[in-house]
Amino acid sequence: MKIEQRQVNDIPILALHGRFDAMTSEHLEERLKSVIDGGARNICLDLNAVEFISSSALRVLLTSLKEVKKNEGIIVLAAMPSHVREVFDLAGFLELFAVQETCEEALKIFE
Amino acid sequence: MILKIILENNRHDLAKLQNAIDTFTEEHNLNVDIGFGLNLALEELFINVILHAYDDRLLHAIEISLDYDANKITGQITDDGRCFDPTLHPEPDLSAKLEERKNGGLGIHLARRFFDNWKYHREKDKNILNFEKRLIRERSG
Repeated sequence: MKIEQRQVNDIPILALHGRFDAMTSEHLEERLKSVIDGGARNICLDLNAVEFISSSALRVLLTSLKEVKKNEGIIVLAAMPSHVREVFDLAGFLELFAVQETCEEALKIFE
Repeated sequence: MILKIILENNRHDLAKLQNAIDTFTEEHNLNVDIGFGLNLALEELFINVILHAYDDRLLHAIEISLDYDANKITGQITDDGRCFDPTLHPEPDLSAKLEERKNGGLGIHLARRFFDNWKYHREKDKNILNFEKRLIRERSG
């Protein structure tokens, strides 16, 4: 599990790598909390390199989305592999988050 | 081959479960979707037991077994926690608006969607959940 962070036009982009399960999701929680506490309203998550995701990580994302929505922000899920997309779909999350094929397309939303 | 693994009620034992499932998946040449689904469903059920089954802080054993034949994977999860039947757990409301979405119930929902059959019974103060996943083999040639 690894999270790389970069910033484009004031939008934090977190690239998630590896497994996001009940052992590792707390790192995602800490990172997202620190980004949101740092004042970010909108966040882009690059999910291209996610190998595995379980409900522990989904809960973290749901809580974070509720947090940014308080300031009318959004979280964009970009570049989801099909196995990851299926988990989001089963959880009914695709309707809650903004979903884009690539990070570049995701960034256009904020222009 | 029957895989049998005994885990402690400690989330770090999830790594042992993941390794066992990966070995099982490789040995039976199961496709990546089945491997992913097994990892997901069994993690959700294992973590659910750890978080909700025990009132004490004692060590408990959670036993997971998997068996394979050409048409299906079957398995069982046994724990000595409080009586809980996941098959009767209510479905989360997936159409609720964001503000009304609850964090609970998602894991069991994901497990339910992966298995084709699952059946619960209580025996000698133990929760026993049997499950089955049918396999659809791609035709060769």
